[in-house]
Amino acid sequence: MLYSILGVFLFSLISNLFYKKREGLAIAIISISLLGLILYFGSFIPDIIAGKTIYQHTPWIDTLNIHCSFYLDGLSLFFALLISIFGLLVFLYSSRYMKAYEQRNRFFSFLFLFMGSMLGVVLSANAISLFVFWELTSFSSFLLIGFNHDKQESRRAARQAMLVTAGGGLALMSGLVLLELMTSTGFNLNEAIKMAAAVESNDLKVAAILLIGIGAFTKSAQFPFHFWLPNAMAAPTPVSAYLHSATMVKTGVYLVLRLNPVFGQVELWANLLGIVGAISMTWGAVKAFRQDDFKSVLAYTTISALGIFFMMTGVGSESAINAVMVYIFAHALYKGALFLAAGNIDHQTGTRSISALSDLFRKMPYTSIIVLCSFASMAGIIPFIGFIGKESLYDALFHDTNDLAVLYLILLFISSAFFVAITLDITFEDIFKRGNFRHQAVKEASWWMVVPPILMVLVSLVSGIMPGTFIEPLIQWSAANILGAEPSMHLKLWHGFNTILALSLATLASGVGLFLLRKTIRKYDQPQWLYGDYWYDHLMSGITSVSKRVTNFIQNGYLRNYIALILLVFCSLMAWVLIHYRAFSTINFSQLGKDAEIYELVILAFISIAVAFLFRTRSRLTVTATFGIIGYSIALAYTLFSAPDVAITQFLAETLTLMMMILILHKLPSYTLKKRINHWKYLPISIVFGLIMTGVSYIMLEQESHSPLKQYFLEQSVKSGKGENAVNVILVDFRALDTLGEITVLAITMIGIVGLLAFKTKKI
Amino acid sequence: MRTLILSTILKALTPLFIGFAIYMFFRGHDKPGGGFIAGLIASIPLMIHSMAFGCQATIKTYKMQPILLAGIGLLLAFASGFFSMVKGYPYLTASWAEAKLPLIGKVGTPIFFDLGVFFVVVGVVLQITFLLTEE
Repeated sequence: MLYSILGVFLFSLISNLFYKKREGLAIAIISISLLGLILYFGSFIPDIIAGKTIYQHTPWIDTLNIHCSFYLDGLSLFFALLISIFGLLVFLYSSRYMKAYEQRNRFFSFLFLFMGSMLGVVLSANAISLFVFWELTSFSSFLLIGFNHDKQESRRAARQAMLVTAGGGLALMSGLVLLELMTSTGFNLNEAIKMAAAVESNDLKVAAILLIGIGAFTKSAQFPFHFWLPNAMAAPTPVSAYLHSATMVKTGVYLVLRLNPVFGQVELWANLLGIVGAISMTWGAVKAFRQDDFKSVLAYTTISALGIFFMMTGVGSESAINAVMVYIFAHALYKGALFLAAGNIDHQTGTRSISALSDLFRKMPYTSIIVLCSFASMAGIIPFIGFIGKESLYDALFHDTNDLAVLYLILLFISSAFFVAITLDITFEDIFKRGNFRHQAVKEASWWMVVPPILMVLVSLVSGIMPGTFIEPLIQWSAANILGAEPSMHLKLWHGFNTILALSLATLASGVGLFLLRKTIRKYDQPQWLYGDYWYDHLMSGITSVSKRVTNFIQNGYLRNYIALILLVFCSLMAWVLIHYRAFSTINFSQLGKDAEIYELVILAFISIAVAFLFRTRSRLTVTATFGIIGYSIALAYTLFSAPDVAITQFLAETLTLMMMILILHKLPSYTLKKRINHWKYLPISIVFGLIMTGVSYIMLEQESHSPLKQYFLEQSVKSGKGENAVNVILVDFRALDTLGEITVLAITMIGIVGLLAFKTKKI
Repeated sequence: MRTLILSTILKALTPLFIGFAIYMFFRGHDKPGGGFIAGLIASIPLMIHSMAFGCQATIKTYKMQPILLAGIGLLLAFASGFFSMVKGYPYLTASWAEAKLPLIGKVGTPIFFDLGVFFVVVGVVLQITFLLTEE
């Protein structure tokens, strides 16, 4: 399975490099490989139906328990097949849809990057690798939403989606770490989900549930994080079909289904998922009815459908989980087909506005049939799979004993009625209405763009008519693996006349009612603060203005202030450490000043006089020279205390610094510290810094005399380092990695200086 | 700053400095010296050269871009660590040849690592100098 994911990542590279050069060949090769991928996952179906699970393990970072381990059961196989089959269909579709785009090689590269990471999410058995793939899907989604990067709207939507989903990803990671703390299974999700008892008795569960919940809600666009999904419709339509309806937004659902065994017994989990799901479901359905943009309608109904999944997972009974799996299947089919059809309409007519479109049945018959059938499935009309899905949902809620089930049922009824109203609205306003398009030359889209959605509709129809033989074998195991029980799903199209059917019929009737009242419903405008975007914008501008203020305060343009601030922070940290560990208590001053030689005192005097002189001088040249005196004196001191390496380095560094100072002296402005007070302002910081550095050096000096390291390095440098100069052996052998880091920093600093100076003089 | 004195002295000093740098470089493993110090020494005559004639002249005379030199040095130090990995040891483990060369002495990967340090130091110092001496 690792290789299948890596293979998809390879497509990403290939399509970036070669797609535009050999377009036909690239399409053929990639389609055949994707077909192979589907067959590969398909070959697992017999095993899964037999009730087996498959586990593959590739060690990665063993010491941290991070592995590329993959787990295949009914749930992950269902999602893997969904991703690969939809991937192929969307790829074929977009090979035509994206034909006019200049950067289409990049588009496919991003698409396969997404597909690989998405497969990684649903197959991962390791919590950390799941998180990595999870963030990769956010990242590729960002790239795809922002694909039309010359539009401001796209860029904003991309950034928003990235901030919301990746931010939620961070919450998810904390949640997964908490899960690991509670279960101690080495991030192995397979083991973790079996430890419901350990989690239930642990107090960390509340935090873990909330954090994982935020991760799932942001990813799956649930209230109150739903606002990024409608904006994400700025992406090219195949992306919306693939990422923002069929696959990526379902990762949140996948995650809660996967983790349901471990948290399912906790009341908070059930209520959190149930209530957030119910709000999103209702809100999405109501909002969808008020949209004019075709894709926005689809986006809001997607939010609503995702809300249904969360709500039913929260209910958590056997029939509820069964219903979720059927409805996920139904939703992927009808929503994918609808998005692709929306793409056809947009591509051929140039508009997506519902009020502007008309006469579609006459002009684009195939696309219209796709739209009609898919909407019929969404509205839950017999004989589509959507009907079975809706019946199962009603059935599960109707027979549930949960206190909230009645409320959920009422809200589901309302949302479904809105779905029906939307269906009627589109049918009469766009497909059959006579309007502007009657006399325009609008043509049906090419076969490449019609066949993939038609296939989806056909599957929708066939699985609706023959649910027992066609989809039940696999999907019943998906649900069974979530529940950890034997499969209990029995799908039938026709259950006879019962209460549930009556509910379905009542839904259709209310839908018609809502459709007739549409003008009244759409009249009321919602207040500004009810838009998620409103809060997002305020948060963003707030963050910007605060950081601007902080930056202006700290970085005010005076180099001396920067240095003072850096030293101040450094001193505070250092002082805290020294006081906290009582480092000063070990200082022994009795050795100080003992057997001091006269030449040592001379050097000390030199340095002191030079420092004192610094206060009197006003010329930069003198300051530079005085610093030279101090530097050379220190180098002299090194020589006296037998540290020739350090002394040579100090001499050379001092010389080079002097030469460089001479080079820049004439470029500097005149001394700006005109007032005495400014001169003295920095004195306290300097004194504190000096004291702390002296103290630290002194403490280190005392420590060193007991340290065994000195002896060790002196011995080892000859023996294993083959050199007598221990300092150099440490630098190039024992601690070579540190040195490598240092020279890298040196090179980076140089690049920084080049940037700064070249910027000033406009050349390098 | 075109001075006759400086340019005359440079002719004599440059080989001296470079020679001394090479000497310091190779003696570094047993006695005070090494790549960093050698790099600083070697960059002094070039620095003076660019102060005397301008950096364009230095680039022309020595036919090298310091920023490239730093890059090569970094790459050399980075690559020297892989030699031991081929033999199955961790990255940057020192490995020495059995035979000794005349004058230079022992040969091993740390020498190449040190050479990388040398080039980085020369490159960085000269690049900064060149930026400052530019007209």
